Amino acid sequence: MMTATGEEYELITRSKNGDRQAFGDLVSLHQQGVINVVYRMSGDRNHAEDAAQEAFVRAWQKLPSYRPVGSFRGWLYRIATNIAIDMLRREKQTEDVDDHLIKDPSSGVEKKIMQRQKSEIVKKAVLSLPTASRSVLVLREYESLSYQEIAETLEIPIGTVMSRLNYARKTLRSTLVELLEEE
Amino acid sequence: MSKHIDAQIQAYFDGELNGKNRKKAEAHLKDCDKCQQGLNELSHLSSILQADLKISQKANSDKFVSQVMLRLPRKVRQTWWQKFGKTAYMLIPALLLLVLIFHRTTNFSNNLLLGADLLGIGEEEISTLLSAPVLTNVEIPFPLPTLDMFDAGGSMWLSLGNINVFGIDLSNSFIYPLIFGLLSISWMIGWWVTQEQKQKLKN
Repeated sequence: MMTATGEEYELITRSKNGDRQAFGDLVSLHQQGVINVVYRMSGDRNHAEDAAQEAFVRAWQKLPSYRPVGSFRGWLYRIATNIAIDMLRREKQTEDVDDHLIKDPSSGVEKKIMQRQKSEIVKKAVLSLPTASRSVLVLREYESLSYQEIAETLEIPIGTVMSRLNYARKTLRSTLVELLEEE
Repeated sequence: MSKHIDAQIQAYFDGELNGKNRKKAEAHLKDCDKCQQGLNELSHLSSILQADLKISQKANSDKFVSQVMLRLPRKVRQTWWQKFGKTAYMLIPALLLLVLIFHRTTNFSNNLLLGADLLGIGEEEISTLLSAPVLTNVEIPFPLPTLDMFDAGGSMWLSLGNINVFGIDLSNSFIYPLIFGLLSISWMIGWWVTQEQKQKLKN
C-alpha cells in the first residue's frame, strides 16, 4: 500500500486546516495525473482540464473526511474517475473522429495526420470498453498504479482488478488487431 | 516444459510477481514460445496505448493551478464532528463559569446558614435543613444530595474530599479556585494558539 510521502503528508495536513497555498502545491503535484485520468476515461480533451479542475475542487471540499491510510493519489483518482463517469453520463455522444481531424489546425502535415488518426482509433477503442474495465486499464496503463493501488482507488478486490484488466486487454487486442499487425 | 502460464503473464508484465513466482515465470518464458508471444503482445499493446500519451501532457501548470484556486470555495467544508468539537470547545468557558458560580453560591449559602445557626436565627428551620434527609419516605436506589452533606465551610464539592491544613479548608479557599484558574488559563492558551495558527495560514 502506497501512502503519502513526508512532504505530501505535510501539504495534506496543512490543506485540511484550510491552507490554500498548500493545496495549490498538491494541485501542482497531481494535476497531470488527474487530467490524464479524466481524459483517458472520457476521451474529451477539451473538457478534460475543466473536469480535472472540478475534481480538485471536490477534493478540497472532501479533504476533511480524507484519512491518510491509503495513497492520496489513489484517493484523487477515484474522485477524478467519478467525475469523468458523470461527465460521460451527461454527454452521451462522443466527438466524431473525422470531425475532430477537420478542426485540427495541424492537419496539413500528413505524418501528423496519420499519427493523430492512430491515436483517435486507440482512443475510440479504449472508450468502447465498459466503464469498469476502462477505469482499471487507465489507472494501470496510463498512471502505472499497482494492482493494490487500483484496488484501493476503485474499492474493489485485487482479483477483480486482474480480471477486469485481462478483459480490457483482450478486448483491445481484438479491436486494435489491424494496428497491432501494422507495427 | 511446464504448463503454460497464461494467468501469470499479465501479473509478470505489470511487475506484480515477486520472488519465487517471478523466477518461475522467467524460467518458463525462456523455454515457452507461446507464453513469450503472449508477453510480447501485452508489451506491444501497451506501447500502442501509450503512443499518444504526450498529446494530453499540454496543461499549463501555473495557469491550471490558479484556475483551480479561483474555483475553490473560501472555506473547507467541516464534518459534523469537527463542528461539534468547535462548539464544545467554545462552550468550555461558559461551563467553567457555571461551575464556579455553583460552587461559590453553595459555599456562600452554607456559610450563611451556619452563621445564622451560630447566632440562633431561625434555629428550628436551619436545623431541619441541615439534618433532615430529603424524601425519607421514598425508597431510592442512590443517595440524593442533601444540605447535611455540606458541612462547615463546605459545598457539594466536598463529596470529592476535604483538605484541611491548620483548620483552614484549602479545598474551598485554594484548591478549587486554583483548578478553575488553571483550566481557564489552559483554555485561553489553546484559543490563542489556534488563533495564531489561523493568522499564519492567512499570511
